[in-house]
Amino acid sequence: MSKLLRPKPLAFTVGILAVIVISLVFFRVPLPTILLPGEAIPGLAIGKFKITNTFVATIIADIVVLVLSFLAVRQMQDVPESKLQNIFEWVYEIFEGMLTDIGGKEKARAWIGVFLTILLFLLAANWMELIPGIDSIGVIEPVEVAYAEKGVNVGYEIQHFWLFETLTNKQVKLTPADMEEIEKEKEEAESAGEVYHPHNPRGYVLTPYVRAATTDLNLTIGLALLVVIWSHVIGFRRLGGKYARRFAMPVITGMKLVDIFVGVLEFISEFAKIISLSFRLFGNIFAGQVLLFVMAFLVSFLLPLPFFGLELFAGFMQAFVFAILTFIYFEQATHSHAGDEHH
Amino acid sequence: MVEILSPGLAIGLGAIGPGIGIGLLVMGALQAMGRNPEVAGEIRTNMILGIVFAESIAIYALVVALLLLFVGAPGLK
Repeated sequence: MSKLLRPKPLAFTVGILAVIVISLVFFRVPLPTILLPGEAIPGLAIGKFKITNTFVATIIADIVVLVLSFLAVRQMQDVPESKLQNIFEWVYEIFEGMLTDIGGKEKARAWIGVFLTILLFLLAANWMELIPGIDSIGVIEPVEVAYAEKGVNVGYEIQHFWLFETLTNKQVKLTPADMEEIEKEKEEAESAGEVYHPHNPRGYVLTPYVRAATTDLNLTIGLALLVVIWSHVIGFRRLGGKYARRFAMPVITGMKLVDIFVGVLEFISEFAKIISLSFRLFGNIFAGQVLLFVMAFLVSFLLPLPFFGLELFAGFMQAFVFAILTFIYFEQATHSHAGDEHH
Repeated sequence: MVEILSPGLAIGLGAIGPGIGIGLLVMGALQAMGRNPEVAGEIRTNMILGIVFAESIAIYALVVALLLLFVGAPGLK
């Protein structure tokens, strides 16, 4: 007979199935509101500057990296006793070896600071989506307000639970008639100079206080711009005027048409770098977050577990790829293309 | 109709190429590992890096699909 029918595996399988069935029947969770831009937290703003939940996550990731790094180097010892210093030295050694293989000892020494800063920051920012409570604790507001501001058209009923309010899994969908009514009411409130607030909310949506920082395109594009511009600065510093040759080859060599074409391609590829760096990171982490939402929505226990493992891996991989590409761009910028370089 | 179909087509068509690419990539890596098991670790690292780069093409399609789904294209609604 098959192995599944022996007592232990059988009990295990039945247990898993029971948990899945129980969670399907009794523990249904609402699907969180999925919005592409970072969501402004209601009631939290400095003047006109609305604080978004991804901004809060960025600050938290910064603090985590800074505090860990300071703790690691606070009392440096030749033979480290603190575990944190040990871990940091281990990480440093691994990646120093890797960068030395790619760019040589001198360049690895020069840029490993940038590399590790980006790696650690992105690790903290990416893995934040895995922490329970990050996307589920926040401000509950009426779906009407969310519709008027962000176009959200699905809300949930709420229930009181001890001191808190929670969303239930009972969905409320706004009909086209509701939408028209909301728009009319909002216009009336605005013409009267008031902030729009519905008297009898149909449903509620939740805006989390914290949402993983890299699920906001602003952060990834900002980081990609910084990296690419920085690579040009490094190129000019190390090669001087020679660096400009790669974009304007015909000035140096005789082959005009081909070289103009090469120069244009080099120029376009700089923009392609920005787009590919930022969209790869953003797309992976945002898609991972949506995946976790949907899996928890389908079956709230056990099923999301393997996907957490997957996201753990993907989060590390994306942080590593971003950092290693940064190093490769820096390294490429210091190669002179004209062929008269001397190493 | 179009607003439902377009994100589906964007990710569906966009995933074909990377799917084939990742398949070829892993095939090559596994063959190399089979022929030369001593450097399996190194090949595996590079294989995973390659997979991530091939996968990122599908991620671009996914981003376009998500944009269409949650933001919408001008003139589509």
